[in-house]
Amino acid sequence: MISEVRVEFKDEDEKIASFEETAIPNMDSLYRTALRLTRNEKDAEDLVQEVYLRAFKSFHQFKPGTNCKAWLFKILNNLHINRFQKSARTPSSLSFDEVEDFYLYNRITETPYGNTPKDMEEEFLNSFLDDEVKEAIEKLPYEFRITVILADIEGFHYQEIAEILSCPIGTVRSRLSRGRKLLQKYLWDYAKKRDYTKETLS
Amino acid sequence: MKMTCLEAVKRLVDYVHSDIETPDKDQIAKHLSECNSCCDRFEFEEKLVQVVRSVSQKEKCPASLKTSIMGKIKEAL
Repeated sequence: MISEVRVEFKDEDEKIASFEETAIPNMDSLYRTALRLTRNEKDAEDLVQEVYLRAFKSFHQFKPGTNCKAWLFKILNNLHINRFQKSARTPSSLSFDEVEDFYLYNRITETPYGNTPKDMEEEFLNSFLDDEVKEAIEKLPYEFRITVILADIEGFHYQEIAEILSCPIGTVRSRLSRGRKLLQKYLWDYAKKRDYTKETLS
Repeated sequence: MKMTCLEAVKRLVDYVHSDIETPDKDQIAKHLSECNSCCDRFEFEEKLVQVVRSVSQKEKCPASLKTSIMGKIKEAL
């Protein structure tokens, strides 16, 4: 739960110490998310810095013992949307429902991989390059991307994500489901491209 | 009531997130323990999420950014 109350700190030192203890340890999470949102290091660093400066300013409103990571992510999402409002909209002309459930699983169980033994599945899953996974995430429309990141990478629960993004739980669920399917489709495109390259080279 | 594969598949996406509430969760878990095909799908989805997570979590914030942010905060006081 993200809740706000007024906390009195004895002095600035105490405020800084408390901030360093609760907010700073989340910086890796915020930075890697900012990278996926902005798609470049310079903008990601700027965004993370802005989040932390903003968070420190309103740190007295953060209730100790509640979820600081969720509070920081809410600031991150709001700042990012304010900056890049236009690109934050999911294009409505595209239908993402076309991607079936278990897209990737169905692909590898139906074609060359054939009647896949477990270790083949494993091999397939581990064949993705880090850059392919990152690019596939970055290709997702904003609302799907942020939801997949919050759920699958940062491990937030539906309720927390709903609060961070200020949307109903049903919306979180549907964005996550569609985002995951679309991500699987993008990953499959990379796998296909690689196999194709291998065949043409040999 | 026994859960069909079709029902289970629809809920597996939630289940992978391990965030849905009982009693649905118990029903899905029961279905998975009895149905190999759904169990395979579930394990695959779960492993995929793990791959995405572990690739992403390798990325760390540059130490210089941490230092510079704390510096700016103290400066602003």
